Amino acid sequence: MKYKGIDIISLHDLDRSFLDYLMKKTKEVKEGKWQNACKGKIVASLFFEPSTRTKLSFDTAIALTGASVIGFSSAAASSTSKGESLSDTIKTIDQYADIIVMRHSVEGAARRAAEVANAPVINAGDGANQHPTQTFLDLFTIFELKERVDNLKIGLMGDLRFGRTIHSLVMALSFYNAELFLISPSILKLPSYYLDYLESKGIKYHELEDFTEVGNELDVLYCTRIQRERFADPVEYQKVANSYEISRDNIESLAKNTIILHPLPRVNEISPTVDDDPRARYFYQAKNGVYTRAALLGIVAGSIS
Amino acid sequence: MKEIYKVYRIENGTVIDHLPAGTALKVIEIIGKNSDDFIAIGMNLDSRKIGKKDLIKYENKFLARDETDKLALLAPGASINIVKDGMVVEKRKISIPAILKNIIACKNPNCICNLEKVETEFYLTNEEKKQYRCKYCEREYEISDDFLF
Repeated sequence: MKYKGIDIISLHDLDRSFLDYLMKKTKEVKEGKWQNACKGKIVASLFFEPSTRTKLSFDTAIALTGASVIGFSSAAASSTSKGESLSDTIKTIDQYADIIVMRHSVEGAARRAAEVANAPVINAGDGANQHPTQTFLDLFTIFELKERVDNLKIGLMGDLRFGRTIHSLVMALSFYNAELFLISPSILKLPSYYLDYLESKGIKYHELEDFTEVGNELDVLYCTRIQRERFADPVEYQKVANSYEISRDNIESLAKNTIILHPLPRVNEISPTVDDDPRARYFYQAKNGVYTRAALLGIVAGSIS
Repeated sequence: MKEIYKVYRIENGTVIDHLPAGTALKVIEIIGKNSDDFIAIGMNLDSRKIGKKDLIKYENKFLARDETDKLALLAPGASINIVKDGMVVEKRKISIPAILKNIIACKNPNCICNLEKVETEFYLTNEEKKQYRCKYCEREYEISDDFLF
């Protein structure tokens, strides 16, 4: 019951002992131990911004825990479209639900919701800021496939500057003494305050532009999307986007046991022609989102301990 | 002693000393005048400690917590002397605050604190760079004068 009632807003609030506990409980959920653990609970699923993957993953997780779900899947369906403040919407829904799961396009919306709600709030993405449950499932997949995170060599590739999944994952990995290879075009490098943070935690990192230089050393290669709108010049985008595509032509630069992960959706970063390669584990990773979220719901509800 | 008399003395109030030369007017702009009471300003005074300095004397004003925090952001090396009956009764060293509550605004237009009535809160992440993280959107900023309310 240690974590009953806690809000899950940002990696900034969490520590290694919580992550270790969540990994352990996720494994138990995946093994079938906690089915219907949240029977009788009501989860409010508030998607002020449309999302297919995260919403369906949460819906499946809620079903797995046996809880009931209320909510909406776009801001147009909520009272905010009538001009109601976020705080008032949350205070009202707080009267009905045992847990609030929310996605919002405004950064800090989940933190604000947690301040006004008594029920625990789980952030399912707040604008460009945090998406902690994505990080949990990324971490669980690494744990499961590599049996540890400590001392692994992990490549993070793509848009390291704006990608929120990268920023959260960097923070989570910093608890585990992983060695990081930050692979990106120079204009999309990890912001300096994250580098300062890694240095303050004594985490070894390397910045480079081409994954094939270090591919055979990596235990994990985590890719993210490079968005076209980040580039003023479409020619420059094309050049960069192509050089960050994993395909049959360059996949052999990875070691035989490197796993390739991606938060999805992908565009061009990973060619579908490598989907059958045993190293490609991104769809498996997506499935783990269900178990991770189910474990999290059970933990904050106090039903899994 | 000679230097002190270059700026008119006060009987009761606050002396802000060791301001970097050229910052006194900015400090007054940020901290404000607050009342009709007397304020004396000295600029480009000689200082053994910092070469050239500015100095402000506020009659009948004692800095509140938020004013001290603002001053710490503008001039972390400044010192505050509280004067009563013409005597310095307290010397305060100021330091960069660990938390800024409702002192600065977030520059991110998509941050909830700019869209709903919410008090801002920032946490110090790097003292040397005066870098703070917004409680809500978690963006980190190196704080400059234009962040202050």
